[in-house]
Amino acid sequence: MKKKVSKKKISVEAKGITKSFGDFQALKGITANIYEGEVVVVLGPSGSGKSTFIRTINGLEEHNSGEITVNGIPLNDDVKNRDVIRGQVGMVFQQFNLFPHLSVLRNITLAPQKVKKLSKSESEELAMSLLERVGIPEQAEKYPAQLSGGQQQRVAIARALAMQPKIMLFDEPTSALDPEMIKEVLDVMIELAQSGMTMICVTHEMGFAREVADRFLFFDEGLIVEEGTPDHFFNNPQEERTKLFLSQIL
Amino acid sequence: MTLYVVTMPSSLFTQFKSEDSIKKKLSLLIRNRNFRRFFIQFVFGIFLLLLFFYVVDKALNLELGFGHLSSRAGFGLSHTFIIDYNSNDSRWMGYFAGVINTIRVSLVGIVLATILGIFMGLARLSPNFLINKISTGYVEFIRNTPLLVQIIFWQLLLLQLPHISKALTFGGLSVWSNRGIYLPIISSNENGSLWSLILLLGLIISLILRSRLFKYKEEHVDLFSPNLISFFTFVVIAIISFFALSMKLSFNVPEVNINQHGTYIQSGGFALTPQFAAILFALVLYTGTFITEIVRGSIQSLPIGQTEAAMALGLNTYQRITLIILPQALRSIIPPLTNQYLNLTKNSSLSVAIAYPDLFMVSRTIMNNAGHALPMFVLILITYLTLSLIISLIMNIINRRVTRIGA
Repeated sequence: MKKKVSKKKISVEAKGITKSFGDFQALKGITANIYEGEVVVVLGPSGSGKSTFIRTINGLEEHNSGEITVNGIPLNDDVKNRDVIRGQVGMVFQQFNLFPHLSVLRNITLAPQKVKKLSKSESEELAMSLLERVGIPEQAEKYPAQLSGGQQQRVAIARALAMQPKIMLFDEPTSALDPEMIKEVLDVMIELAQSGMTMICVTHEMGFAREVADRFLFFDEGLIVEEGTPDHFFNNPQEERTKLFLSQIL
Repeated sequence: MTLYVVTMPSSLFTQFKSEDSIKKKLSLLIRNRNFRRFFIQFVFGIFLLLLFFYVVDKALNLELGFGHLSSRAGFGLSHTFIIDYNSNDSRWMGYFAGVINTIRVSLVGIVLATILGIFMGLARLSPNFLINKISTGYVEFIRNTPLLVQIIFWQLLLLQLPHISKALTFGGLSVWSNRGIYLPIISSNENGSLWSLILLLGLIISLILRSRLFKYKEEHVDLFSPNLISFFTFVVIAIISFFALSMKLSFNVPEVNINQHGTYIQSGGFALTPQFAAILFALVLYTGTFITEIVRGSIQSLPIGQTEAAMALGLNTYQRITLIILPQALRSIIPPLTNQYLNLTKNSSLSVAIAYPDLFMVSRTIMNNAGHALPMFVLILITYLTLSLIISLIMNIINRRVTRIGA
């Protein structure tokens, strides 16, 4: 089931983003628009800058030059803007990054209580409904270390959703998982995509990408080499680099 | 690991056949690993037992009594705290005054070194260039010079303050001279101790109120700041009891006067003597560097993903540190921190170099006057051991609390 994406409203606007780590230039001028409700899959070989790109969107990496605008708010040195953007952008990491000293429930309720000033009962109600949504309400009182990798990643998704973000960033969310746990996480992501969430996913899960992606961005050496629909990518890639990459992972 | 207790395994003898020669039996015995384990422990046990009897026998011939500690001390102490001691008291009293001086400098030192260490540890991780470099400079400079030298240096520095006749007074508020630093304190009339008791009670009440209010605020988020409410509660209690007891407070400002013989008399205020200040500054600064490194190391050993996840959720710097970083870092901070507390307490015996009358300094005075060095040293060692064990005990309790999952 594919939903219609209105190409009207821009969620994330990136103009000429560059980023260097010492001598290594990770991003060499990335320009891309992400539209509201769109699911964008970012592909590319390792070291091509795809993770760095999505990490600049919520300011986890500071870009050196270029402009990023999220829901009309410029990501600049204004501290207030950065806070607002982080409140609107949820992120899921490869290594889950759950807080090991807090229970699953507390992992989810912490930010809504501290940042959004929700009451304890409101935030717990919200957390339980999100745990239902990702399919593990019975794990609420456990600690992260007591859960499997797939369950941890689903908690991490619930934790990000608890801030009621408008955009979700996924940084290789299934790369650290055992093969039999990948599906349970992808199912949650597919459900999320179908619900109309704006998503930017760095992933190598081509089945998932084929099912929900509206658009692909192919990165190589810090640049977007090719972009297009899944149909375009799977059936008619133009660039040699893209063809080579796809031939190796499909 | 299995612990082989010294018991002769009965299975040893079952392998022997009666027709074997003695030689065969012996070689079988020596090759048997159970026999070897038993034999080695048996021989070593006998040796330890003999050593123990020898030491006890020799020790019984030594004079190990503490009778001389009950006689009149005959020496005064420059610093006494809590207990009132003078030279007519027994040597025991002098010794206890020394113990209290040790506890005083150690306790204040531990608190200040911890605060300094946590701030400097966070500062070392700060992206702010100036803060970061100040912290690095502090650690590298203080950690790499000997503590004894630092103690004497601080005393020398404090003795460079002007003579009492030219004391710095900072507009009459305090007196800084080579006799020490005298700071103003608030003193009161005879109801003072009752009022301080009420203040303490008020403080406890407002702290309980504060935690209750924070609990309440979890549900009723619109509640006005619990910190301010409880603070005002405390202030109201203080003011009402102040007038109810018709308290009179006065500002006790240190003064310098000259008596009829032309001597300078120092009076009033809270005294920080050069000796106490020197040993305290040195212990705090020196131990603080190690605590700084412990705090920095523990925080750096946490995965960077913890900070990133907290940032991505929109938690601010203060919330990240107090809710995510410190609770996790504390688990690896507490055990080495305990070592530093023990070091600080034991290092306080270096007071002897600048004549701050801690327990070691007082014991040396007693030994100089009365001899009996060996029993005195046994007493000193037992006292330090007791202090150390108390610190370890308290820190173990704290450690158990923070390592409890979800604490």
